[in-house]
Amino acid sequence: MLLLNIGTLSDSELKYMAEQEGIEDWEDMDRDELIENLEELYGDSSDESSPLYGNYRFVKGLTDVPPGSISLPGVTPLPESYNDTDLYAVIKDSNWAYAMWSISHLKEEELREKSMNLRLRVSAGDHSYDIEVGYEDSSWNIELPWPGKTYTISLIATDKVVDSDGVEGEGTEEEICSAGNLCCPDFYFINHVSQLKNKNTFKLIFDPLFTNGGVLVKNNIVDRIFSQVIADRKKGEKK
Amino acid sequence: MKSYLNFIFNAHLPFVRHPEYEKFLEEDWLYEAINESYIPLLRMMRKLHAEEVPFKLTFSISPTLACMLSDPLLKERFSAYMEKHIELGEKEVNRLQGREEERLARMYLKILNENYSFWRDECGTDLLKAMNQLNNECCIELITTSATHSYLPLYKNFEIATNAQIETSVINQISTFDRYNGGFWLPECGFYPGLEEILKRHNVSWTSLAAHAFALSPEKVLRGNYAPIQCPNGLYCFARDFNLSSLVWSAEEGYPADPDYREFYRDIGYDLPLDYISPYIHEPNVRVFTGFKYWAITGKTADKVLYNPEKAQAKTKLHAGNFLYNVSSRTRSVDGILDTNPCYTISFDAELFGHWWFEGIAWLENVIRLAAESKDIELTTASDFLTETDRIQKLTPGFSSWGSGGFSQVWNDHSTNAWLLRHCFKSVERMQELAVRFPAQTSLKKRFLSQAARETLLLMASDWPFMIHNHTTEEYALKRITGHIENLNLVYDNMSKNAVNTEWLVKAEKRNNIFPHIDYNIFNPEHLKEPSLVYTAEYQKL
Repeated sequence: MLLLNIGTLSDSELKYMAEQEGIEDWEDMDRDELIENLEELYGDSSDESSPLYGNYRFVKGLTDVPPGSISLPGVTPLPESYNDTDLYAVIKDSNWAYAMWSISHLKEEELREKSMNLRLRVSAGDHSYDIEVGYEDSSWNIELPWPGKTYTISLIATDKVVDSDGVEGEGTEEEICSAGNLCCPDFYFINHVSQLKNKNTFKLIFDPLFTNGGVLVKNNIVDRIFSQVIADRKKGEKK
Repeated sequence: MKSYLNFIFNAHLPFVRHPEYEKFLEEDWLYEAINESYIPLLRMMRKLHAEEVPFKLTFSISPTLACMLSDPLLKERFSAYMEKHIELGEKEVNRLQGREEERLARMYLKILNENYSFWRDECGTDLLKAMNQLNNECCIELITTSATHSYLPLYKNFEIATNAQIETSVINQISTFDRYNGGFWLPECGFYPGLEEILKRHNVSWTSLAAHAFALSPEKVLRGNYAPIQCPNGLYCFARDFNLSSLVWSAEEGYPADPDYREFYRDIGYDLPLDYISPYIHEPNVRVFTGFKYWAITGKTADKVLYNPEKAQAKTKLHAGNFLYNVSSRTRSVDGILDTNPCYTISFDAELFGHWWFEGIAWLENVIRLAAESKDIELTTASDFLTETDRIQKLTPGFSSWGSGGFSQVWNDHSTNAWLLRHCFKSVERMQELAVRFPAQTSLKKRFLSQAARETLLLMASDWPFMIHNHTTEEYALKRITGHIENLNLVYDNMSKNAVNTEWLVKAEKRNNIFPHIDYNIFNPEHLKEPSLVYTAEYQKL
């Protein structure tokens, strides 16, 4: 909505932006350096929804909202935590989810007293794997390695036991909280790339996904399917 | 073979309304969009309709935008905005007298006067009414989107919140416009398998998806994006044609990047000395766009050539012709392969036209005029096309969005905005808890709880995480998010003590006055067992 093509701005505008953004030594920078620094600051925009404007309009300094002025009578600031024990997880892309959790003060105290260790258990049907986490952690990017499966992510507390030989091992486990119903997507053409050998099928599927200049819609799965088709074609040609 | 063009324009702005300030900078987004996009689009379509040039276009008017367009305070402020800009136009004509730029200043002044007169006199300050008329004439099809343009895949595990977003928006659409055919724009084209069930519950008949949604289906798609598909539950889906959309949308290849078109970023709001421009920018001397732009894109250089409107207009004709040539080429290339006439779904943000791409509306007008003369190309809407074809495959589209990366990466980005999610989810849970603990309240408590429902919906807007992800108006987005959560928590804490903070309630209702008839009980899971309120709204209308 408020995007900017930095390269089109005048030198004075670039300097103004650099100053507002607190870029050091902006006064000594030439045009290219200013553009480079500002582009770095604003990052790239390459999504399907807004590729027309490569960078963002400078608006950070335009918000004339004094601190705290948004609040209405009686409103207290946002709490740092809700003192609950719960875990949320949400799918991010084709094979990653983002999990976030919190443990109530009381529960955390209890677990610490028992010297319990924390881990995230990622399970899907018969498959599962664990990720060790600490008490200071509250979120994690979770890999979902088995396509098409429905996952549950659980926060598990385990205690350590030491056997008669003095070897440390896992003791009892307690599930603290969990989130389920995370469906990792499955994609037909990933498993059936050979069907795209047919040039007509390929045309129907892929022509609407390419620009006239040959740029493919940005998506890792589409990219994988396309790369596989091309690799298979090359193999076929060699044969 | 005949080519069908299904243009969909997504008109959306977040709900920004600050009566507590005399002037609020972010409200300018609305005024700029009204003056530069919505009014010019309506004027162009009215002209074509008067000339009996046939056309069919689809517009999604987000409920937040619809509420703002009909809001008396924002209308009053838009009026002041236009008068101030007309004053600046007159000042510019004087300043530039005898110079080459003078005719450009006159052009802008003329457009401002005409737009203002159109809005005030022809539309009676009611743009929704003007849209409704075209909708009734079947020139355009008006559709809706989720209540606050919430990116729905984030809330997959919160069915009640997703349901509230969709139900509220469809009810709003039915009560705002005379005719609603059941089209639904998914914010950011965000879809996940299962969402079709919630959409269908509210009588939504079709939706539009990202370009790769069919290619990423768990089943085999047969006709690519050339034809709609039908989900097993009956919902129709159209996937965007990335190839044709990119002719307009691509930074490298898109028409708007043509050197003859007007440069958006060179504006007197930034270029002229403060002592001259300060009455027309924001206090204290915060430079903003004024709309007075005298330079052409020229190239990636700071040295711009003067904008030549005639040259740019001529280019819009060339580009319109080129667009339809590309459509025909695509159709020829699938002749003999495809067993039906292709339908190309081409979707954009409406604000691209006129606001970002000054000549975009002229380009669209030329496309419409050329298509009207063509025997092989016809403009259609999704609803109309569905009556023309029986070649529809049953398929469940794949998880997808049109954001960067094609999934949820933009709205769930651990380096920028993912931390918000726990607060958003907790708020949704708290709202749900309130609805369960305090069902069927009346009077003050009902108002209190319904205001909490408004705050929850506003919190869920996709705009806030998008701004934070892109570092654009980040501070404002953060303030809005924290403000809505804090407001909800106030209701939560008060209701837990069986109290109502009436001072807060009166002020909150005045400030966030969206969806005046909302009933907080839509957040009660029991509500999912009842028929959608959409049917009641339709019945009441009859």
